[in-house]
Amino acid sequence: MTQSFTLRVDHIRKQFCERGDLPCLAVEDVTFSVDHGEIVCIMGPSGCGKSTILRMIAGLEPMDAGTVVAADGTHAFSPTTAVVFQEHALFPWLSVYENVKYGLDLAVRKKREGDPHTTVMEHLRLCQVDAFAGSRPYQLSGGMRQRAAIARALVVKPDILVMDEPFSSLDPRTRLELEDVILTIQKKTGTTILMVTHSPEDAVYVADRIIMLTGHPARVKEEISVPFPRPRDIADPAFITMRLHVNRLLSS
Amino acid sequence: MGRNRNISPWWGIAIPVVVIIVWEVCAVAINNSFILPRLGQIIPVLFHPFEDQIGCGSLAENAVISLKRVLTGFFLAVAIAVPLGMLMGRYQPVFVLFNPFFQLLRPVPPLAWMPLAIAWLQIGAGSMIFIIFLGAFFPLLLATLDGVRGVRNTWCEVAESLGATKFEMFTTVVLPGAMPVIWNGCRIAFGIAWMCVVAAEMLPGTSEGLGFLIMYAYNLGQIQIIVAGMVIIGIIGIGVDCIFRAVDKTYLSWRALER
Repeated sequence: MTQSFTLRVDHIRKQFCERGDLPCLAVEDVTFSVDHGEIVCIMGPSGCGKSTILRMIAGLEPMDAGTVVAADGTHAFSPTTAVVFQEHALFPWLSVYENVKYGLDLAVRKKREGDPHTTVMEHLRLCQVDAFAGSRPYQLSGGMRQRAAIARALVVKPDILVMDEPFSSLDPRTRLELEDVILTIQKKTGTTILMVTHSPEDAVYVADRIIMLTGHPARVKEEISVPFPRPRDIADPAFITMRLHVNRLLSS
Repeated sequence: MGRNRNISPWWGIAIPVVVIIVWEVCAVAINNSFILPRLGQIIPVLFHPFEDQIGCGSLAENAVISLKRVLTGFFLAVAIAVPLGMLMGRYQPVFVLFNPFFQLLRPVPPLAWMPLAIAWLQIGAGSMIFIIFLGAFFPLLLATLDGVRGVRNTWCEVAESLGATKFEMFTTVVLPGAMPVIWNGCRIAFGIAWMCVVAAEMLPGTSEGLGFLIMYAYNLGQIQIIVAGMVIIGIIGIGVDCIFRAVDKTYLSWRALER
């Protein structure tokens, strides 16, 4: 049985219990699905539990209720989910090349066929950081670091690429460049992407669909389809209208 | 506010040179080689490191014996303190279990263990290695704990999401991530271990090693051998420290550069 979705998040719920404090409900009954090859952005007021949702999907945080289901019916969990974090997530003691190769050297993938060197170089080129293969992360600009982090995540051929505010530490120009890189990668590989962002412009530029959450605790407020063909023009009136709409939803 | 002018590193030689000159002047003035031997007596001893001194073997021989003891005790300490420190740093129950015990033992000077060490392991290399082990163990353990705490959670989560096992997490993320701090701990621990061996060898019952040679030379009134022995101890200490620093600069500089 084949299903069109890559990932289904079903009524997940998360409560944090700070010691001595009242339990704080971070995520309440969130349900959505991500289709195959789709780019989905999760948005919501800051501190609403967006990152917690991503972490639960990636298996980094246990959930109190609900399920996350992959297309084959199993729990979508590492290593089928690869994560790109906000920043400073590259291993600083390894070169960019070694960082990208890291996932291939782990025991779970030891017996896979194919030359790891070719795979690594392929992904470095795909993410346009091949020129910096021998560099250390601290020698790279923020944008290049994020490209390397994306290459490291993609190299294990994940079913879904999960990104937690990947642009948050970048200046606007670098941000746009990186977004184009991500769109190119998505077009070439067909990877399903789920990302958290707090910028309406980023979301409307890259996403096929935006899932807007309410704050404290997080619930799905609205799902917005972004119908514009790519490449999208950020100066297009329809684009701007959509951006303003998303912005209004975010602040209301 | 005036800026301090930088001077050439060669100025670092100035004070040792002055001390040597003052030493020689005082030695000439006092004219008693049992109190202050002249350079002319010390330097020949240093220039013949492979010659037998006062029937206890050469400086080099004794230095090698001391160094072997230090390395044995030091590596034992590394082998136990680093894995244990990593487990304590990563798993709270392990920390809670072991920490009070180690905090209790830590303030005890390593040499205070000597009587017990002799009672348990007899006079000789075994008890000395035990003392060195204790001297190196605590700084290593503390450095490892500190290093593990500095390992970014994000690094671990990246590894976890890529499918790393618990063991791989330790070998590919926690250890390399904590390595610069652990390495610095090794450097300090080795310095302490080196001090411990010389002190332990000075205690009664030993028959070889630099500490023993110094003590034996004292009993025979051969002050120039004492001074030569001290110089050798210092040189070996500096040499090892240089190796530690060179490795740090070549392989572990990422920590400083990474902000």
